[in-house]
Amino acid sequence: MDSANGQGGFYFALLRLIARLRHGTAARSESNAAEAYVVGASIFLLSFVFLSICVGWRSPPLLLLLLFATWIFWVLLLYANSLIVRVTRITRVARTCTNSRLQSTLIGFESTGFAIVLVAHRDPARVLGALWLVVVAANLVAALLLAAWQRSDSR
Amino acid sequence: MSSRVRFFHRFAVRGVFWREYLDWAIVNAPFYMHFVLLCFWTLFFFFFAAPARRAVVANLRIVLPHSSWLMNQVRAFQVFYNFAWTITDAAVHKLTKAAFRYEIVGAHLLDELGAARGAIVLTAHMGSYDLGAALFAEKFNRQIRMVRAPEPDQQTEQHLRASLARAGEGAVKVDYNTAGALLSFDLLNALRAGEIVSIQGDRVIGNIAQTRGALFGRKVSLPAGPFMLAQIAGVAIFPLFVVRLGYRRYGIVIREPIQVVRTNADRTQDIDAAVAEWCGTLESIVTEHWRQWFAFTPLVAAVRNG
Repeated sequence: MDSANGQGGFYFALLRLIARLRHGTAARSESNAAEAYVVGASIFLLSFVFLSICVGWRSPPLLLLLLFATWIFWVLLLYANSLIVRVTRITRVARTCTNSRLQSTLIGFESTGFAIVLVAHRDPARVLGALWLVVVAANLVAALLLAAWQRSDSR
Repeated sequence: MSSRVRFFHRFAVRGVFWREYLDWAIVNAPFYMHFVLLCFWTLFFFFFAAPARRAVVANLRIVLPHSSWLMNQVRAFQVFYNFAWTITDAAVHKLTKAAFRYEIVGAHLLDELGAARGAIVLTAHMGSYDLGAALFAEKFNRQIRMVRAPEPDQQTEQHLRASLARAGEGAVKVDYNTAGALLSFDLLNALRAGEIVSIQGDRVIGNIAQTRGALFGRKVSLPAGPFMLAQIAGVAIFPLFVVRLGYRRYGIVIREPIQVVRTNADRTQDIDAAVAEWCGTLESIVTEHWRQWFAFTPLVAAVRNG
């Protein structure tokens, strides 16, 4: 078996920082399967719990229904985000960033908003919200460290 | 077709709307959202594309005869899920030019194919044959002519044609098996000129020349064209399959070439021998990768109609 076109690296700053500390590379990549599956599933879970609290559904049949409602919610939210992205293009706020990077930023804000609501709620789900906030904070710190590191490297 | 009917036709299972939506989602949704969205879209199509689901279940009954009805439904879902990933990956490659990892099983045979002066690549509706053709053209810097059945929906067909042209960056030329005898002469000339022609040889769609083979103990109709072309042009047939191995990771599986040598015997006997060899290869690859055999028409009905 021959292999070619090999890739490595991570997308999120926290993992890129860890990779840099371990292997010395911090290149951004979208090729990591674990990131693709775990982050997507986590965001979906967070929004699912957020919506279940909002609508107050607890019984299994309603939760099953909510699962599909959460999917529709994301399809619509991504469309709404794309309109915001379009506005940023028209107003020239973001010109060089790709659509998916801008969407990623918006999704980051939205999921953090869901997490804040969960933390404020008296529910076991607040643990999930708190965990998300810790991960987001760690990721932001990692992004700052990576930026500082890159600046010192370029000097 | 009236403009109103045409509008609603866009939203049919094979309508162009879903292909356009996929392209939109690739550009707009971050890569980590694809997994969850694909799971739900797979479920959506699993229920709404009932004829395709029934065909996959019927085919699985033949491939895995000891599997129960319920297990075959679960397995059909896996086939749909893999199909969703496959067309998504093809769209990602087309729109973002993202790099894909690939592993080659039978690297020396692929080199042989890359260096061949005229060859037929015989493949199946398996994995990402569109992506595979683009990767092959890129790796060997060679043009490839792909013969395929047109999509039933005209707008979807136009969309797919444009996608292939964009993904292959002009190195993948698409021909349609509906073109009839004219195409046969055209392909023969291409093979004699040293080109590589890729044909899907696992099912017969439309009114094309057919031959009989045996798959999993059942008689099936298969396209006769690749075998006749190989015999007349004097080129080898390389069985090649592109299977999805994981996230943005593919396997290019290439098997020993099939020679359709003209002996003194009846020409059809030589072709029958090559067809039997192809059926053996196809059977082994489908047994191994049934999750990625995107045969959305029933195998047995094909021979009944034939």
